[in-house]
Amino acid sequence: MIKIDACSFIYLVKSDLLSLASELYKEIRITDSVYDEVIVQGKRAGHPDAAVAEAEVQRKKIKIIHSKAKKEPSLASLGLGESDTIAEARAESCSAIIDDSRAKIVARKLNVPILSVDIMLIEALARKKITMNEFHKMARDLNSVANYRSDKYADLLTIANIVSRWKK
Amino acid sequence: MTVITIRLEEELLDALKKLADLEHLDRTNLIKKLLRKVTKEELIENVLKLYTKGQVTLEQASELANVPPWEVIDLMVLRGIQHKGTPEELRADVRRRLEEIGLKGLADDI
Repeated sequence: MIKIDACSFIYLVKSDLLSLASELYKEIRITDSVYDEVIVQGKRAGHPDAAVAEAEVQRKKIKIIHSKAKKEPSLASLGLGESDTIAEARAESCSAIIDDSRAKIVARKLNVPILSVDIMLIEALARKKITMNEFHKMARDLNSVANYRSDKYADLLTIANIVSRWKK
Repeated sequence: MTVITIRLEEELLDALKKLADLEHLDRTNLIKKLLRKVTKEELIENVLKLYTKGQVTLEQASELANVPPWEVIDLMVLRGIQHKGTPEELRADVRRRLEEIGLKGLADDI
């Protein structure tokens, strides 16, 4: 099971990677606050991708949960969806996909296991869920949404090469 | 609605009159339209600066700018604002994740 915050959820939808996330983690959960920010408010503002995200939530059977987890004071420095996602992951001892830099720092301080969408691609490659060619295409699509620093993107490709050649 | 009074220079008033004629609007509605447009743009500009400096998260930026998070992400790409994160952080995150999923040997090679 994995929890996903708003930023990562948008990255996954826009780069068409939700199917891969479903395959890797079986059960995906988002909090109702993330659902509200991404889908409800997105649809209200007429953003076309919000309707796509809503259809994906139904198709992939993504669970929407109401966050009841106790919140650490440091979570007050984040948005509601980000803090709910981290609090839920902490309460259930599961990982969370978080791409927002500020939210990642807070999650790490609370010892919540986190990964970002680019790391998810490396994990998929390491677990042989995707080929190197698929990795390249997916990384390109993700970069068009996330706009990584060029040195970081180059290093992502270097790491992918190491992972694809690695043998136990 | 609240009524506010502002003093304008003749030059600006003259430009507003010309624009009102061109857009077939009365002066009040023209000023409201311009204020709405400029306020939204300036708000977004300022919020994107805060986000770039790492002072707010994406969700906070979206709330402050009163636009959905999709729009914040689209605007960042359009303006060439890069996602934070360095190669060093990436390597550390990859190693950590690979260890979590039981691939310590691979993590050591990164």
